[in-house]
Amino acid sequence: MQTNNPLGVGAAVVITLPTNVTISGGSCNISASLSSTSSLSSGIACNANGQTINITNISSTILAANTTITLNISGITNPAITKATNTFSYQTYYGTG
Amino acid sequence: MTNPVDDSSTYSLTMTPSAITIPNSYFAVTRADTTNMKYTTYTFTYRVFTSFPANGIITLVLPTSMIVSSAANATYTLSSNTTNQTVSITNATNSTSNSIMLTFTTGTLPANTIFTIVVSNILNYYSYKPINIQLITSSSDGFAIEQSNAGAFSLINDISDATITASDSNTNTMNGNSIAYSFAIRTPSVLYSTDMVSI
Repeated sequence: MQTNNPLGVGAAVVITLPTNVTISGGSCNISASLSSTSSLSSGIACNANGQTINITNISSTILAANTTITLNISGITNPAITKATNTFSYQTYYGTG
Repeated sequence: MTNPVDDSSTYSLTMTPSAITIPNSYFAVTRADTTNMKYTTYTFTYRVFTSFPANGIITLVLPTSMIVSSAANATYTLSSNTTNQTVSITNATNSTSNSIMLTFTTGTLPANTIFTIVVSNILNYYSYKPINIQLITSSSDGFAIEQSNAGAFSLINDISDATITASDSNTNTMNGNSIAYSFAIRTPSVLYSTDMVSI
C-alpha cells in the first residue's frame, strides 16, 4: 500500500479480510519492507482476531506521504472455490493508538 | 485504534483463487473397447483431494471429436456408498473440447472419497494419437475447486487394421528396372485433412 499522508513512529495498519478468507487467531508471521528502508521497525508485530489483522509498530521514524508499505503475512487461507472474494480493506494509523 | 490516517475505501481489493491441481494418481480412465471410432463405455475414477461440495459438479473434458451419444447415461458409486446411482449428464461441444457435465446430489464429501463414474456411449477418438482427458470439480454454482492436470492423463486407441494391397503395374520385373507400383488402402475410419499415410 502507498500512504497518502505521513505516518508517525510506531505506525499501524489494520487489514480486514473478506468473510471467506481466513486466518488463525493470535500472533501471525509477518515480514515487511518500506520504500524508505531505514525506517522499518525491528519490533513490528502482527496479531489476528477473526477477519481482522493488526500490524503494529511498523516504523521507527516518521514516514513521509507516498511511502510504500509492503506486508507479507503468512497463514492466510484462500476460499475453497474459485469465486472472487468480497473486498479486502485496510486502514493506516499514525501511531500506536 | 481510532482515527485512521488513510484507508482503502477508494479501492476495490478482491482476489480470485485458482483451482487446486490434484495429484496425477487421483484421476484415472478405463474403457470397455479401445478400438478407434467405436462407441463404448468409459469408467472414470476420481479420488477427492480436498473436499467435494454438496450437490457439486464434475466436468470431464475430452477432445471435440469424442462425442457422446444422445443415448448415453451415467451412473456412479462412492467409496462411502457402493449403491449404484444415476447422475444427471449434460454435454457441450465447442471447437476445442467436448465437456461432459455431471451434476451430483450428494452432501459434502471428504478427502479421499472415491467416485467411480460409468458413462456409456462415448465415441473413441478416431486415430491412435494419444488424447488427454481432464477432470474439473465445481461447486453447485459452477466455481471450480479441483482439477486434474490437463496433460496428465492420456489414452491411446488400438486402431483397427487397415488393409493394403500392392501390385506393380509393369510386367517387366527385371531387377534394376524402374516400374510403377499401385497401392490400394482401405482405411478403418474416416480420413481427416491432416492425416498421413505411411507405406
